[in-house]
Amino acid sequence: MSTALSQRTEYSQAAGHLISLVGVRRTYGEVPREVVALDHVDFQVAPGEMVAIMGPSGSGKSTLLTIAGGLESPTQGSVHFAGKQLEQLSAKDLAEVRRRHIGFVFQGFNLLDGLTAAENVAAPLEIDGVGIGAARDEANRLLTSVGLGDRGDAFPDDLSGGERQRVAIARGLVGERRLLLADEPTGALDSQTGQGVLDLLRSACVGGRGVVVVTHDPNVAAWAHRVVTLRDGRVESSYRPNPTDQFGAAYSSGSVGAAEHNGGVVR
Amino acid sequence: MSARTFVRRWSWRQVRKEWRQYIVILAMLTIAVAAAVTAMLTVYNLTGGSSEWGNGGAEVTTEDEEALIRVLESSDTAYGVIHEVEVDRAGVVGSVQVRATEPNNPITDPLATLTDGRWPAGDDEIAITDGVFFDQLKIGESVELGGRSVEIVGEVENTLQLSEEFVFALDPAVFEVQSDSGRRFLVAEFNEELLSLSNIGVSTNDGPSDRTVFTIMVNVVIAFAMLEVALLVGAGFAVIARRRTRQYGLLAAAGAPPSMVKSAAATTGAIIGVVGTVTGFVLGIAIVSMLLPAMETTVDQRISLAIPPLALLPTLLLGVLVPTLAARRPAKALNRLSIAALLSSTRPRPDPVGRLAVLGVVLAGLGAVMFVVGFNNEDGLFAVVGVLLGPIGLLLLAPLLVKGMGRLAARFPLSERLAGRSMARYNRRSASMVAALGLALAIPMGLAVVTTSIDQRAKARPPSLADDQLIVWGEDVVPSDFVLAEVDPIAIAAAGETLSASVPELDLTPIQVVVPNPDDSFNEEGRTMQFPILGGELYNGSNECNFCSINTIGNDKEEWLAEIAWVATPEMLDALGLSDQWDDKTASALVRGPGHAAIKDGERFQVFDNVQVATEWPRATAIPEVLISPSFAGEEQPTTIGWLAISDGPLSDATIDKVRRSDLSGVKLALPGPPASRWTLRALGLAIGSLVGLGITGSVVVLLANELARDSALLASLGASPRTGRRMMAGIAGQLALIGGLIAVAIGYLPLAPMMSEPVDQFPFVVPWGSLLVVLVIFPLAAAAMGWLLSRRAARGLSLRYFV
Ligand SMILES: Nc1ncnc2c1ncn2[C@@H]1O[C@H](COP(=O)(O)OP(=O)(O)OP(=O)(O)O)[C@@H](O)[C@H]1O
Ligand SMILES: [Mg+2]
Repeated sequence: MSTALSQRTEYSQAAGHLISLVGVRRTYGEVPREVVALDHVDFQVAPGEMVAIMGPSGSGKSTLLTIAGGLESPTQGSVHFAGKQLEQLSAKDLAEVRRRHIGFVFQGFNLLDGLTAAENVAAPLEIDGVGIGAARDEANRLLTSVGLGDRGDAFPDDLSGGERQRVAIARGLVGERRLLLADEPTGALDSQTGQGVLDLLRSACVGGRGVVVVTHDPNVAAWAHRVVTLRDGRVESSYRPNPTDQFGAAYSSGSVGAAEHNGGVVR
Repeated sequence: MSARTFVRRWSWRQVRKEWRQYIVILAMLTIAVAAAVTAMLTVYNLTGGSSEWGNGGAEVTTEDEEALIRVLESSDTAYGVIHEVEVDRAGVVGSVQVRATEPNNPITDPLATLTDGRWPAGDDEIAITDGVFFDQLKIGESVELGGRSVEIVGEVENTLQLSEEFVFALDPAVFEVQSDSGRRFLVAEFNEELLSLSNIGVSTNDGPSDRTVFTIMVNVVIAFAMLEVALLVGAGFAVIARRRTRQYGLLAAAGAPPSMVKSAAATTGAIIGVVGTVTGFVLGIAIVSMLLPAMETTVDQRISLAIPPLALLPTLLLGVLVPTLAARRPAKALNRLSIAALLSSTRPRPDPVGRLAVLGVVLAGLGAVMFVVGFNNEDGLFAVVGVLLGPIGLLLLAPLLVKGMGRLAARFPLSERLAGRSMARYNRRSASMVAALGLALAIPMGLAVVTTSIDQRAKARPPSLADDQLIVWGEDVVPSDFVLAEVDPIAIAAAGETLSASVPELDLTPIQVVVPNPDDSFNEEGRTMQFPILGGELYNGSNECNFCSINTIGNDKEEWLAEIAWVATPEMLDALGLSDQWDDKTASALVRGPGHAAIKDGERFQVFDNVQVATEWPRATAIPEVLISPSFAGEEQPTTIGWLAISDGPLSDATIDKVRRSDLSGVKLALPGPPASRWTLRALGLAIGSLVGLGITGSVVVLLANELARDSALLASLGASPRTGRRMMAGIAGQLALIGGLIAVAIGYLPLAPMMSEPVDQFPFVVPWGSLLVVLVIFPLAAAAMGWLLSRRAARGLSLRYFV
């Protein structure tokens, strides 16, 4: 099994995946009451790909996302991101990966109440040592791109739910991040606002950025390159709703790597 | 299960959930009660008897002592007899006071209490105070005294004046006595039967009744202080209630009657009140016992730690009542909201900090003015109210300062910015924390400001003697009851010769005075006197007037009476290094400093502008601040009353010892006193205040930990290092402490206002750098460090529950 695993690892890296989870298992609690949140999960995202994750409540969607983002470590298996194995990184290096390369958008608690919208967006840059002025400029640029150019000085309390999610997305994009992970970003929004947020996420794929969205939205097919469904912590299915798009073509030809050469952009 | 039991259980669950909050409230209450108990015990125990009366309430003087004793014996009034004489000690300068009282007499016992060894059993035995023989003799040794050889068998002290040095003997009459002030009869209280005696004089001591006045005043202070605490504790409960709004809503939706919720809240408050009050009470007693040695040295009295139950009762009652009402209040307020409003637990509107601050400034200003006016007019109540309003007003500035800090935080790095904003967001809560911290530091800060000012003034009025000077006085020159006729010129001259022979390293200068004829002292208007006022008291470090020039201040009539004038002989001017500064023809008085002021009817005015020469004197000196020229002394013949001895450098112990062992009789020795600084008092106060402050900080950190965990997890998800959370906590603790420190400093300066405005003996404005450093820098840093240490490191695995 270990040889098979390492071979697959080789393969997925060679194939230029942005991130790949291999044989990931995650349990919570001790044996008699152990909860298996994820089991034998393999999951990859290619540059520029938008993946939707679906599944019933408690199926492990959030757990998958947090493991992919380095917020949680797998009990078994490994996570590769841009050629690095996340579990082997020190807390400091892991923090740096999150800061520079991965953006998060959560369902609810997303923004720091003590920071203005612009400060929230600028936070990862500031943490990274970028000067306050430059960070704010960049934040304002991104806020404008999500349609909140004039709300930079507002505190989260004064923003609507949809606005807050857009701020969170802007923050997830700041600093040219390569991967954006969103956990039910539209869950608390009405369908129209939710659609706007999804459109934003979709447009985030340009430039080779990978986007993963956990969602219950039945219209997923309209916007995702690939849909992965989970059940009881295992991948139930993985399919491409639009075989005609760039990734669909690659999928049908059986090689994601080819897709990358065809259309994916590697920085 | 009845509804009541249900509500009780629910209420208890709330306490368990929010136990950290409750601990903060408990801590504030405990500190307040401890402070109140400390204040009360201090005042109660300090306002004891007088150093001359012991436990006596009256002193009886009579010609016929035998008759007096008969009357006293027959009545059941407690009385004590004290007999004091002065005797010479062979081969040593100066005389020794010998005191006799009946051992363990209830009235006189405080004046001579046995501390070691035993009471003398015969006329060959004595007991001594520890310093009467310059620490040279101990129990078991013998000493030549008043023509007898006596053995030291015990140690005694005057518990009402620890610095008093004397020898205790059973019968002073067995010694060769130099002077005998006779027997003094002290009675517990004035007795009608005494009037049967003829020729009797009674003076009563109203000392003990002061205690009642003090107790009432302190209780007024305490009542206000507890009111202040009520605000804080009330805010604390309000914070809890706000966080639990939804719970209240659910409870109400489930059908619990509002009155039960109220009474359950009150019960919680009462429990906290009892626990806090008892803890505070014990803490207060502990603090007083800790401070006791320092207090005893300061007031020069032994302090017995009496605990007056009645005087403490109001504090204890308020300690329980305040939290009970404070806990009930928010429950009552919530009952007024609709259940739907409770359930939605909408964000509270921001508190109106501006209006509160304006009120605070007004109160503080009013308080300061009342304090100054009350102080200067000796209007106790006015001053007390002022004392209370000032700090309360300044504490009301806390919300504004917290908000300001939140604004300022925009420029801070991320963690500190979040800290400042989070403080400002929960303004009321933060303000109460700040107030608690400020309160803890305000008292030591006030102490620091006041004592520094006192020290500063003492420095401006240097000690009576510089460290290279000593004075040999003719007998009875000091203190001020100087009677020229009693000066023995031969003894003084002899003392001078002996001294210059036996201690050649001393440079001796005669001290000369003239005593003006009082009839010559007024001009036609009856105002100005011929001799300049011999102004200015000279202080030793402890603020006692050691060598005050005599009669420096006019009495309430418009006259100035100089009983004695100090003559600036050429030798004296030489010794003081002033000879080139005085042209005898143009000036009649030499005045220390840039302009000497004397007091007249409460105003300041220059004395004798036309005749004085103001000059910077080289150093501290026992000579008064004003000297007159020999020619100005006129016809009066100057009399030598002693010697000013100056050594090359600071007087060494060896030199002092030599002087003491010189065979001089009939003279007294005055030595430079040790420089008294109150820095130990300051340091102790600040240490206690800071510790209390750190205790509060600790509770605050614990209290906020859960709340900050959310933010720090989110920050970590953005790639911040796990330390960011700790930095935030350190930032909050440090910023709260800094604001608390600022308020403490403001409060600390309040007591200086009346001291500075007092026309007599104005105290200087001071900047106690050391204490400021502690309160504004070291304490906030310590608080930040505490926040850092107490907040746990964020785990590597970030908890999902904040995000999903
Ligand atoms: N910290 C934790 N401790 C214990 N069990 C956990 C923890 N986090 C998740 N779980 C369990 O793991 C399983 C998967 O949880 P997860 O949050 O990933 O589900 P989900 O698919 O996101 O569900 P939903 O759609 O409701 O958000 C659940 O059974 C959950 O109870
Ligand atoms: Mg989930």
